[in-house]
Amino acid sequence: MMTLVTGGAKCGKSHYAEQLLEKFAGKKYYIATMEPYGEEAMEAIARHRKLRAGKGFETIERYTDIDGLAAPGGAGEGTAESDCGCTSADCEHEEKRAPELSPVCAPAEFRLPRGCGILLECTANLCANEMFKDGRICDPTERILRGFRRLKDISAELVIVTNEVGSDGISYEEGTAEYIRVLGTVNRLTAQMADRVVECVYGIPVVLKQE
Amino acid sequence: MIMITGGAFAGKLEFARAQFGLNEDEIVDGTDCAPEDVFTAKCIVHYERLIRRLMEADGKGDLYGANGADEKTEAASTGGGAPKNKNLCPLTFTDRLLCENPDAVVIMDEIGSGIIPLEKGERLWREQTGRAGCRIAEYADMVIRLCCGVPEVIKGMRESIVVGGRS
Repeated sequence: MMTLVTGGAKCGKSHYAEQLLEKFAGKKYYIATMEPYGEEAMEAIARHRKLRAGKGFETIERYTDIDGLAAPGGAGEGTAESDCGCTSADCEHEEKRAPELSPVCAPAEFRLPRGCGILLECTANLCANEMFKDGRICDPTERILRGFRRLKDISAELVIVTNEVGSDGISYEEGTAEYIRVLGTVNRLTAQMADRVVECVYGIPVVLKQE
Repeated sequence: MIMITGGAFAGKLEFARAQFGLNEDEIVDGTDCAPEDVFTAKCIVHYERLIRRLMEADGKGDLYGANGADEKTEAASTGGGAPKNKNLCPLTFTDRLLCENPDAVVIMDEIGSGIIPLEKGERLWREQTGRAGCRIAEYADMVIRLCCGVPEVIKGMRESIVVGGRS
């Protein structure tokens, strides 16, 4: 079962998404895509961690390359708790990371186990990380969707949280405009893949698609 | 309590007038009303703007003193960005609204579905509005969302209003 949860800022998406996995009895993973840089990011992460506390999630920080978390060729079962093991050789997360955040990046060989429950939050951060990572803009649509498809294949229950960013009516410069376009496309294609799509409106879940 | 939401100019106020038979003097506007008026009014429109005004009052004209301030400056790191006066805290104020005026019709725009604003104060406003809105929606017996003037009951008894949305 795959669910896409969308909505604007601070609309109760995370809380709702967690509820969807509340009764899931198997191993549960939370894939966090937001890079912990800056004071507000820290606050948001701390708040979300508090929300998740005691709900049985193992947290994996993964800012790009979701496909690599579930692609064949890894160690299979494994623990996500380890040193920062981003696949790229020039990873700088270790030194940039604030001391209060324990490193939970999955090692390169870590693979999510088959039949697990997954909550990924959120597509909007993942999309920005993939798009702007090398100082130039690329189109990560296919790459992101390949990752999501892989998560869907291996998991028993998958919840993906995304964000609505296209409804403020403001014309942005090229990079941001491209980001809005790409995220819109990724969201549409993710919704096609999902069995269920839910939009949160001030905390109220509105079902947009249910198969 | 009844909550009515949706984007700007989606027909929320029009709908409220028709559905609940409200007179003009029963409606207060968060844009310019005295904040205390919402505790007795039958209907409040633009509650999101009242939240903004509470934050501005707290920051003496600036949203928590956070807008326009370069985040790297000392002023922003030491002063801006947090509520100072408890009575002006949007969530505390909202709790008082739920407590003192539980039968009100609260109309509130959705403002969170855009790119994260560059100014910290604007980000804080989105955040406070979102949180306050979640609290009102949780408490409300009915939440109605309008799109292109078409109401959809997203919480509560659908049968009690004329619904044009999905059923």
